[in-house]
Amino acid sequence: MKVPIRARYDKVMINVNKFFINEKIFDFPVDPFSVIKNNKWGLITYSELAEIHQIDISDIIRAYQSEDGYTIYDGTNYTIAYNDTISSSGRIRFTLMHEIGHIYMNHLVDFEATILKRSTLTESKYRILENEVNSFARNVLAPAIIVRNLQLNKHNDLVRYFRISSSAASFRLRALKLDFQYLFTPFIKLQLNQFKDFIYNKTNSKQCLNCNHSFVHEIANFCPICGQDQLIKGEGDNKMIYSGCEVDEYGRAKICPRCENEQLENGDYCKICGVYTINKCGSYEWYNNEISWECGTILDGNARFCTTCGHKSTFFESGLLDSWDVEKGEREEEENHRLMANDGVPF
Amino acid sequence: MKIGKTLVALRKKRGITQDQIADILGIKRARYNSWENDIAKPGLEMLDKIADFYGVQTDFILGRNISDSDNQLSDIEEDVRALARDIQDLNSGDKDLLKDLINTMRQRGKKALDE
Repeated sequence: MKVPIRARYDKVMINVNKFFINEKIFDFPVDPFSVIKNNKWGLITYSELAEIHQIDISDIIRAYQSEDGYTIYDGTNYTIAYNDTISSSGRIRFTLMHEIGHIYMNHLVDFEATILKRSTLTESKYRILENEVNSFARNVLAPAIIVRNLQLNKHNDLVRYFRISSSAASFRLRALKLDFQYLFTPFIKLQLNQFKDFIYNKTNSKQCLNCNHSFVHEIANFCPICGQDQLIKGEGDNKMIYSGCEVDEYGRAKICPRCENEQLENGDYCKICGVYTINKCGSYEWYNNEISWECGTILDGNARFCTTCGHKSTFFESGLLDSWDVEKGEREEEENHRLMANDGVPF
Repeated sequence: MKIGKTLVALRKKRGITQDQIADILGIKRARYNSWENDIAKPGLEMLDKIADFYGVQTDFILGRNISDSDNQLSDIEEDVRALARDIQDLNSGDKDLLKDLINTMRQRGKKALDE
């Protein structure tokens, strides 16, 4: 087959979707290393090659005519070589996805011009194939449809969400219009469905300014950990997730949080130690030995406070969960110990 | 000895027209065209100029000894494919290195399949 005269961006989009389905990608950032491993493709770094052949990285770059990566197909398997001495991990991820793009676009099989022995690939043909896989890489690493759906328009957000380099993020934003020309309704539907959990989590993530707790909730008014109402949208940098018991969607513990009894199928109390095994808002009113009113919000297993009204949770009232400042203090102490141990400082 | 095809290939790879190369050599396009069509042959001086311009050996244009000197990639197996452009521009040392690197890559690919 002859190299096309212009980049086939429509075909790229088909392969992007094929990639998401085949590789079972539901989350970001996408990990190119596990994709390569799962497909049993070979992978080698420029450093390894330099070591094996006793040469410099610059020699490898010259021989490959590529600073970032090189892919071969030998009739049975693909092998990717990449420059691991590049300091930006975002750029390395882009390079690997770019090389995976050559494989997904079937470049090394379809085009006789890639037969190395004859090597009739000219600069202009090479550019066309490169443009195709650059489009593949950006649409796999940071799909246009997700960027639009989450209304990401600052390139820092892209760097954080998709772990791409800052220059790739700028390019991603500039190429949005181009990519949307080739995103047809079935592709959009497929991607929105494939990544609905990711989108949900990102749109509803919140962080508490008081205790740094980071969680996903549609309508929380109060922080479930410290009970304060200083919640901001999005994920902060120093996020902290507090410990708790594992509960099901009805707030019922899977294992008794006090005595570790595993038989909690019947009733709301543990039959061994008698503790109340559902974590929910502890705010209710008694009248004539009956509950006449309750907030009733079902809570996560680590919630110390109700997200709706800020009242203490049943688990917290039963003393099953530590107060947030206690846990935070312990963790900071552990962290200090760990850092000290790593530095080898004697006590 | 026919050199027309080689001249066409070299020129196309550079992406220039007959007019442009004729200008560079300081001759008329018609004269240059006659070389590409194997109607006439360039003189030694012109051959030298062409080789200089494309950065190749005159032997390459004449089609001599290509298998041992200028195309060291010929002993790479037919099956090996890569996105390499203008590989003829590599000097012979780099070509040898590329061959070695590719062999190492092939071993790695084979190992990955077995794992």
